[in-house]
Amino acid sequence: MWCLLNTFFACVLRTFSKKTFLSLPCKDFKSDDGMKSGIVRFFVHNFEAWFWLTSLILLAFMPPESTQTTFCVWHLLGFESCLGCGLGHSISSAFHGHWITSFKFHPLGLVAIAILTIRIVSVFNQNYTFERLNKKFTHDKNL
Amino acid sequence: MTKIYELMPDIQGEEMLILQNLCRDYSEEKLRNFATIYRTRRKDPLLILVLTLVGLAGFAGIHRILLNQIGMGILYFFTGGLCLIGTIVDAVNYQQLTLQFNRRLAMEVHQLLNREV
Repeated sequence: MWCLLNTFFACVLRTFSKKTFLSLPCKDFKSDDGMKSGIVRFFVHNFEAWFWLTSLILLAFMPPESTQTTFCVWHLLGFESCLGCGLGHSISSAFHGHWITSFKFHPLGLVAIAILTIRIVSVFNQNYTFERLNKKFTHDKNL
Repeated sequence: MTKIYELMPDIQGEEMLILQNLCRDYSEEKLRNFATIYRTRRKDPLLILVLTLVGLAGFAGIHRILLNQIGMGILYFFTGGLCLIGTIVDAVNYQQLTLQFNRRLAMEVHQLLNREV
């Protein structure tokens, strides 16, 4: 269920923010509403990070053994189990503190948490440093 | 004076704005140098999108490895693109993913050219 929610959220965010997508801190480009476009840009540029963050949080609050109706395409196609679903259960049970069950669901569960966390941090970090660099460039050239 | 969009007409949108911002004070020769280097090293968003969609057929994560995100690539490969969800996310987000790679590259090339002088 969480994946459906996430995908929907992503698509809505994407379509609504297309207008302000070009608002870069550029000298020649002036957006009419700077503050709002700044916030939207903050969301759009870090879209990937927000997505992983929400999915990790939702997985942390999901009961690890739950087998509700899923959005998983492999299940809908009729396969018994899929690697991704095992990963979801694995991450969930790892968050609940059941390490061995987590490993049994999918051996990559803990690694996945680590990789996703690194990715989230790196997305935020990269965007932040780039904005700062870009501002510095524009500032230097205006002098 | 040649403009950067005349040298690389296929680049559009935010990437072009970044490049214009970066190369504002470049001389003609330097601009041509920048264009050649950047163009050969740059990743095409279309290629990334196609490789992402290959993930729907079972080979997920190739685009991540191509974008120098080896960890994410391996994770995608061994989980079928995080149960296809990650593949769909990347298909929505492919422009941003490529832009992140390309602007970093632009900065690198910029530093390279400046160090040379």
